[in-house]
Amino acid sequence: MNVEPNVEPYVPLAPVALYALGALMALVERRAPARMPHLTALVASVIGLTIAIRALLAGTIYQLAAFSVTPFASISFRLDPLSAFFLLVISLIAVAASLYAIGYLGSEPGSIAGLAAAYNGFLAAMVLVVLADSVFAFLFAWEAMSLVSFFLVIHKNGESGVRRAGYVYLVMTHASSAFLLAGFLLLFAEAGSLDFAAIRTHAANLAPLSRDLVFLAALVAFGTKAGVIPLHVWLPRAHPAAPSHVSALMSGVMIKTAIYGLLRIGWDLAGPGPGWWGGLILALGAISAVLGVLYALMEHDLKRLLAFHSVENIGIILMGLGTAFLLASFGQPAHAALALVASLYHVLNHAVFKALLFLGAGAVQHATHTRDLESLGGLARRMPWTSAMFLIGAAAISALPPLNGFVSEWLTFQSLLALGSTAPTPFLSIGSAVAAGMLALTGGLAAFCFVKAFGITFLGMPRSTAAGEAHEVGWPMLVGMGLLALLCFGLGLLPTVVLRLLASVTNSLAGAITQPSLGLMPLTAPDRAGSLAPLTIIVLLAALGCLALLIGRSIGGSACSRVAAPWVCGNEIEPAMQYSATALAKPVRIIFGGLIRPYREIERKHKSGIAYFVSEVHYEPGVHPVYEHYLYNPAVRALLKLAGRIRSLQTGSLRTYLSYMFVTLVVVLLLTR
Amino acid sequence: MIIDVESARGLLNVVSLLLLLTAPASVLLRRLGDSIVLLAGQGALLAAAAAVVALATGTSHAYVAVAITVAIKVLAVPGILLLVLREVTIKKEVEAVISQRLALLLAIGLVLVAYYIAGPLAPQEGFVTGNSLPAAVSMLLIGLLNMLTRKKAISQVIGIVAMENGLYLMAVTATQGLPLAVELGVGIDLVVGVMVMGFVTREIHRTFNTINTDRLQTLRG
Repeated sequence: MNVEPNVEPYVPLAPVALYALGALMALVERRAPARMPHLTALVASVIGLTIAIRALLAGTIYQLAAFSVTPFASISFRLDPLSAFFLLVISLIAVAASLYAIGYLGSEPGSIAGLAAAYNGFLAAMVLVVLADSVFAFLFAWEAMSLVSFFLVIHKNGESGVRRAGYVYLVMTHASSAFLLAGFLLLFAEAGSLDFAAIRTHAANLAPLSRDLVFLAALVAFGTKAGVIPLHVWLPRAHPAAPSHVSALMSGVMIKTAIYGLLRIGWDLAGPGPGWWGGLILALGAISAVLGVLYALMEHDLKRLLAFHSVENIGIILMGLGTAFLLASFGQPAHAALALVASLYHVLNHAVFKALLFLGAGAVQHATHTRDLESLGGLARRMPWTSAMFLIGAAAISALPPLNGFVSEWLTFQSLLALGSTAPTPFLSIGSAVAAGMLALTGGLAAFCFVKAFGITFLGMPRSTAAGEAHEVGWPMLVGMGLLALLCFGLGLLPTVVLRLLASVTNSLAGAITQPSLGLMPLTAPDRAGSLAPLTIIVLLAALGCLALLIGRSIGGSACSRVAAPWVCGNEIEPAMQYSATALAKPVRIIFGGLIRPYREIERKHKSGIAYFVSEVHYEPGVHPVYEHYLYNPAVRALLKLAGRIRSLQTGSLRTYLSYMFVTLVVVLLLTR
Repeated sequence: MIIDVESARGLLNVVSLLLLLTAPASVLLRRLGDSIVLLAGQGALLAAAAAVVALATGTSHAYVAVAITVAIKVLAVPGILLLVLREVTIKKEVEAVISQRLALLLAIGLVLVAYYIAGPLAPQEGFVTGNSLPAAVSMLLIGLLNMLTRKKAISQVIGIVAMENGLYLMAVTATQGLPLAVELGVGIDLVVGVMVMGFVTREIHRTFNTINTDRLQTLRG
């Protein structure tokens, strides 16, 4: 272990100190403009970014400050390649979100000071989560992150549904903490110490059963935080409720800390484990990916739609992660490294494009004061920059080349194929093929969903006056989004750069590196099963585009195009004639009806009571809350029933309680004589 | 050392027996004010016990302990309770759920239980006499009995102070004087506890216009 001396150990904690300073500034000077705390956050995140990149390139482990409160509760921090990568993700999104927030906060209702302080605190807590090197420090940071994000979710607590969303989030996050604590206690029982270093050395001696229990506890705990189906119920409620730059952080970054936790406990501390761990992660990931995108298709609230896409993308990340676990358990370090790269690359990519999309949705909400797709439309003309950047994000999340989503999903495919070709049992080979098929289905449906999201929001005619009167947002918000849009291109075109950053991570975890080879920057999977050269792709795409244009010009020329209004049987064109979001998704609703259980309520109003003359039709689509109905409600009912049983012990009479004590005292005294 | 250990033992025995008598006597008192005065009397007897220990050991902190006992158990605690009593009740009677005769019978039974339990425990050396431990345990048990048979919230406070007095008798005789820090800690604990309980009692009275604890049953969900 390479331990750096003196001042160095404290440097990676500098961003945390700056975030804390920003939070203090917001709280002390409540009247000051919201700009200052966010500028501090911006500086802190830039510093964090620098530290993370430096540490990743050096590939060393920095043992940071350690404080011993009691012999039990030591608080220590460490920056290893895995933490550095997640620090990079956090800081990168924080840069864009802070820039955006400077322009965005002018319109937010409620206490800006509290929001700015919580924003800084949220970032500090997330950085501490990935730096923690002892159980105590990790749990402290984890709980701080959960609590601060709860306050961010209920920021607009005057709106209907926000308090409910906050409550559901709080309950789920506490349940997840309970599982986390159970897992850590099991590890502590073997290691006898709460330091990660001690746990890492002793975990090998753990009995298989307790190791499996540790893994399952961690999977439930982190699965809840990540929003894995069926533990996702809080996510589509809580993420849209928060202000948009916070939604970007929650969806882009916070749920990734769960991936970090799963890697830290399930891989780094308790070892990669037996094959079924990876199989379980892979299966959960595949289910989350497909169902997440299907639920997203059913949504017509822009931010809820994006939140369900987070469930989908966490599923894709988990598919890569599960494949890595599986390959590592078969002793295939090179392939495991490829799968890890796929998973972590997608962590970074999803953070970038999901943050971009949430910031874009925030800009739309800022300009139109609505998130309902059915009352948007025609924004491309009124908000050209926002729509261009939303389009880039939409193309990236739909995994279209040459953007970043394509590279990581391609890598995930490659690792699934590698799993299929190296798996020792035919069952697994078939399973990996099925998983690859589900991934392909997810990609296609995601593209469909973003045709809907982008098309209904930005194209056509405005469906409401608010959408018709929208104006482009201010430049800080555009700069924040623009930064992420550029990253979507950069990460898609230069994957070898990311691979170099990830090399030390995979080397420390899987003991192998996915070697990037140069040239026209092709990306090659081990065994040369496939290779990808994004720069070649874009050159080819550009060439084909030019060719198509040339052919079109040479055959038709510009003379034969004519601009005219579409023919609508001689009527005036009305916005209601356009496709609605619900109608566009109808084919999917019919095909996958058995999976997603949709319902619709149609209410007809008749003209003067005659059944043949319908004056008004009200159509309300929805999705049955399957998880609430079959999983959560029975659990809550059972809990309340149990509580009722226990309550019958409680008479409420002071004398009865005193009599319990009296009788116990006398009996114990007589017995011990 | 002004008195020798043997005469100190004799004196402590007498004080313990007097304290033992106060325990069943507390069951017989009908008025809350009298119960509080009885607490002050117990405090005075405890101060006397502490004084005997101080005279026999001659250490300076034992004298301080006597002063603390007088200040807290004779003056402060009964004083606070009388103040609370003046504010909260119109009827000054103790209201119990069992008759006085039954209570006395139970109290005597508890004294027997105390002798049965604590009699053989006492090491016949130092300041511990054959009666001091049983007296302490009977004060404890009868204090608890009073707490659970009486309705008014202030009776519970009186009961717990009586239990505390029993514990203090045990501490004084068994340890040849507590360390000053412990003595101060226990004393401050008691004063603060009684103040808080008195305050809560007053608030209960202000909210429900009664301090009958039966009404608290409605708080159950």
